[in-house]
Amino acid sequence: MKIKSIILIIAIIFTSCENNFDPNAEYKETFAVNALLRGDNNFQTVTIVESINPSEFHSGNNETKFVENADVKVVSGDQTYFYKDSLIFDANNNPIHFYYNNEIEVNENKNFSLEVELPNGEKLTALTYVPRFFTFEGGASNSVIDPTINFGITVQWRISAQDLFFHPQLYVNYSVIENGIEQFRRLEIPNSYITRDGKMEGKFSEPSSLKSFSVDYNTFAIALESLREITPVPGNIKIYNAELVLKVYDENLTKYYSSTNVVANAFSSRVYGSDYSNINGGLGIFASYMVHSYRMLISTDYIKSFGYSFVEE
Amino acid sequence: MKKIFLLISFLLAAVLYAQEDGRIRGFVRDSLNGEALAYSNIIIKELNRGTTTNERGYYYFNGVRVNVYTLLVSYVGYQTKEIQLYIAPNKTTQVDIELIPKDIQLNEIEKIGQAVDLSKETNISIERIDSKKLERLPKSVETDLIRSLQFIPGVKSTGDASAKYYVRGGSSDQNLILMNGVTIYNPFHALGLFSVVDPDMINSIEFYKGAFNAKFGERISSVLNVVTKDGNNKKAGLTTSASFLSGKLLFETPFPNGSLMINGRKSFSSEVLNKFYNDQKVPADFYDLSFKLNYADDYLNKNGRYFLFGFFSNDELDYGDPTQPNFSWETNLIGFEWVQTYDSPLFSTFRINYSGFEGNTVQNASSLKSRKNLVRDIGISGDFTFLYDSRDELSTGILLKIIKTELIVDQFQNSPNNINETSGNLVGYASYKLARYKGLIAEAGLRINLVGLQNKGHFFPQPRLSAAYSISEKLKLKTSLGLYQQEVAAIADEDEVISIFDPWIILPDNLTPTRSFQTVAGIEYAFTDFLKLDLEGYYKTISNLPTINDEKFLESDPNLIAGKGEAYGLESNINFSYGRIYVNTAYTLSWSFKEVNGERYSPRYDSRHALDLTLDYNLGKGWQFSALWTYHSGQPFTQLVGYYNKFYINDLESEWNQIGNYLPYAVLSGRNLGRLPDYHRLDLSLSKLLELGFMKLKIDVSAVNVYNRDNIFYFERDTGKKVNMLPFLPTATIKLIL
Repeated sequence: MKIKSIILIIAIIFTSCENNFDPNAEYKETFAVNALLRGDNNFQTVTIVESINPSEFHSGNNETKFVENADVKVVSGDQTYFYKDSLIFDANNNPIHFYYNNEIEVNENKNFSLEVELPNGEKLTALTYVPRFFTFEGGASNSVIDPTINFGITVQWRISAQDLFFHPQLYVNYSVIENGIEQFRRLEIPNSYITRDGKMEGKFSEPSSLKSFSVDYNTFAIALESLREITPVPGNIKIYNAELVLKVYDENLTKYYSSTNVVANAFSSRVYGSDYSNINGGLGIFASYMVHSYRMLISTDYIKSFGYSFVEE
Repeated sequence: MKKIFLLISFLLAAVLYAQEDGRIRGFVRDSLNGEALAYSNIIIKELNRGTTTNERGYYYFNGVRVNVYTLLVSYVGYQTKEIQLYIAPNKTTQVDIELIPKDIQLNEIEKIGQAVDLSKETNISIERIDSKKLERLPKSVETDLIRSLQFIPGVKSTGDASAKYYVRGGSSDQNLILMNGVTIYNPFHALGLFSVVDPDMINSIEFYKGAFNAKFGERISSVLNVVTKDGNNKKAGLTTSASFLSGKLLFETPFPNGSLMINGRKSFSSEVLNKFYNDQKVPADFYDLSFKLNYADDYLNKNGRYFLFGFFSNDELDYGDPTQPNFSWETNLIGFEWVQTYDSPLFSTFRINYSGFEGNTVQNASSLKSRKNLVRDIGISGDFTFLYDSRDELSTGILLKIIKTELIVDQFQNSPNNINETSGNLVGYASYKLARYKGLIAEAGLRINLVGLQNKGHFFPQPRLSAAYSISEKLKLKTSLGLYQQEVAAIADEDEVISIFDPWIILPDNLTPTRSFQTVAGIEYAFTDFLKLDLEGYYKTISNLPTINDEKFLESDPNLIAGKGEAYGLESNINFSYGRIYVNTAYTLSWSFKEVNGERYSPRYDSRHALDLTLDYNLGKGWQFSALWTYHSGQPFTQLVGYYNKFYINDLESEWNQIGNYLPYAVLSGRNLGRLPDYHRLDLSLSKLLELGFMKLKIDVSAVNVYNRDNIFYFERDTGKKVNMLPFLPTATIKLIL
């Protein structure tokens, strides 16, 4: 009887040790500003989002809380650009409140400052600088894509600033005749292919600090071959040229991208992630990037080998 | 007749050689297999003077007056032996002793691993464990050396899913692990769940929790010194065993003037591993293989013994899926050792060895970056111990190492980074032990890097002092302090829940070697012969602690930055051993801190209270029952303040992508300000040893986490879901000894 009582007491002790435990600290409202200045367009946007209480989030409400009615302005030199409030809907018909200005020209070697006044009176500020001096290295880059004269496709560039990230994307500009109408399109060429479930999948380049882009002809050929799926008549496809589109991130965007792409392995759930922000008083990013492009010809014999049409030189 | 002879001898000795001394030396071994019995006790009964054997089973008495004496030799699990001998003047009497193991069927429990303190050592922060004790230490799934250490006061872990251990606030790469004196860089199988050192091949273990003497260096927190078995030199034998995880084979055989031991282990199922990771698939596959050959031939070299040993382990983690990364890592170690005793009171060990580690992460089509780490460590060393007639002891030695480390990592967004260093290390040490005064043992030593692995590591003197004073037979006071230096580090991200393998590097020149000051004070008190208390307090500071730079956003930002550490605490160990029962209570009260970039926080392995209760009960007739209840107060974690939908840069081509790509992201409070709920679990084990004619069979059935406690492993940030550690898990092991 005594032993049974002891066992019962121990069982009660152990089973009563249920975890009534809250992993959250006291909730504190925080705001994130996302403002990228793009060099290829004067249309610039800003979004402001509010943080979500963990209990609300875990109960399934993780909708982005956009902040409306804030005053947003960007200053560069003696120019001040005020942003307007607007609304669009995403693919799932969720509203996205954003601010825009379509007069900001982003040029190299230029400073910009951002000032946001929230409806609650809180002020958030940030600075960014567009890096200067970028050029493609013509001598070290292909000008013609032709497997008979080089072993692969390479483009190199240089820039005076250190440590920046670049996002190169190689496209083939082509057109296809559909219903008698010529449609202009472009095909992004992956860096490589992998086979998954018996199917080939392209693996595309990601932003990195590498100052060159290269792809082998085998990958390039597989990508070009895939155009045959568009139309049963290869001759309806006309190949124009190849173009490397390169986005050059400024230092803030480089840091931000780097912090959002810390990759652990399958067993390494990090419990303390780094979260880069240059927004004073809040979270998010104010940064800029420039877009440059480098065109390459594709040899006619090479295009012909696929059965496609080409543009007469 | 014998008594008369002894009496005459005694009288002659007393008259003729009253003022002259002799010496006694020898080895203590197992009578059945010839294995050295490390840390066994030898007492000269008439003088009430004693010593313990070293890890080779060697003992030495110096300055023994000419007379006839009785040697009492005892070792746990063996029958005590009495030997009468005459000590001649100015002569060394070699007495090799073989002890007979107690019959396994005796209804009497062995006094597990409890060596009598014979006042020859200060015994500060040291645990000495023999193979018999190791078998009885608490286990989960199967006996594991490193997991067993976690039940020693002052040793912490971060949970069931890792055998990594942290000693007195130090990080895991600050623990030196030696096999026969050779460094093992990565001691883990299967994502760190188990150690590579198979318990079946172990003869003895010394574990220093800190403030160790000048003989040891290279790491600043602890030293685990594993000595493997020499191999049965009496008869050939085979031992095989299997658990839910692996199958093992141990082969031992004598040959003229020596013996050979070969031991291998291979995993055959990863099902049980999945339980450690919340039923997540762990396709781990591993093996390890070791051998040791020993040879002694008096014609070739009197009193010399030679050892050749090797250890090879390999792990693979392959999902068979091109979208998942593959991992592999291997450890290779080979060494040659020459142990020499002399007619003078000198004992020497010479060693030449190689230790290598290679770890690979292959990215495949996953987003994880490829990584490769190489360590090549070649060492040559000589250690000498000289015993004075006064019982004082001088130890000295020199170590030369050439270490190459290479880390190739796509560390920064597709930009391969090769951190490559080859360097030499020349170390000398000397230590003087004062043992001439009754009740007092004091040791003063100095270790110095004559040439450091790193430019800033040259000529850093590391003084070590320790002392113990026995106030009475029951009470002993002890203290020690020292400076320690470390010039290599494993690049472990302390915020990862599990790290598959940690790459080693020689510290880059922008960092100063890691240095630590440690001091320990304690008491030992024997309430009775059966009930003993060991209490130690410690304080430790660490400077130049290499820490992964969490704010490395640009390629030019340093990979590692220097932090600081501080730890202090109180450890108590009470053990009660009487008849069939053995009970051990290990309690630690501790604090540990790190400071990086001006932020002071408690590392993940810091828990204020840790308690381990062990019960071992011999039921007789080969039955053995053991129970272990482990408790530690909640470990630190970083709390959530909230979430926000973070803007992710995807394709910036479209202007709308600039405003539409968001994913939830956690807003965190200060690092490790929160505490997880307390951890506790109960493990039970029942084993039966059967003698079946020419063979023995041991069956062990265990249950891990008997009351299925939901111990929290971590929280998934995205979902708030709680991920638990090991649930209730029954396991079994079967062992066949031929």
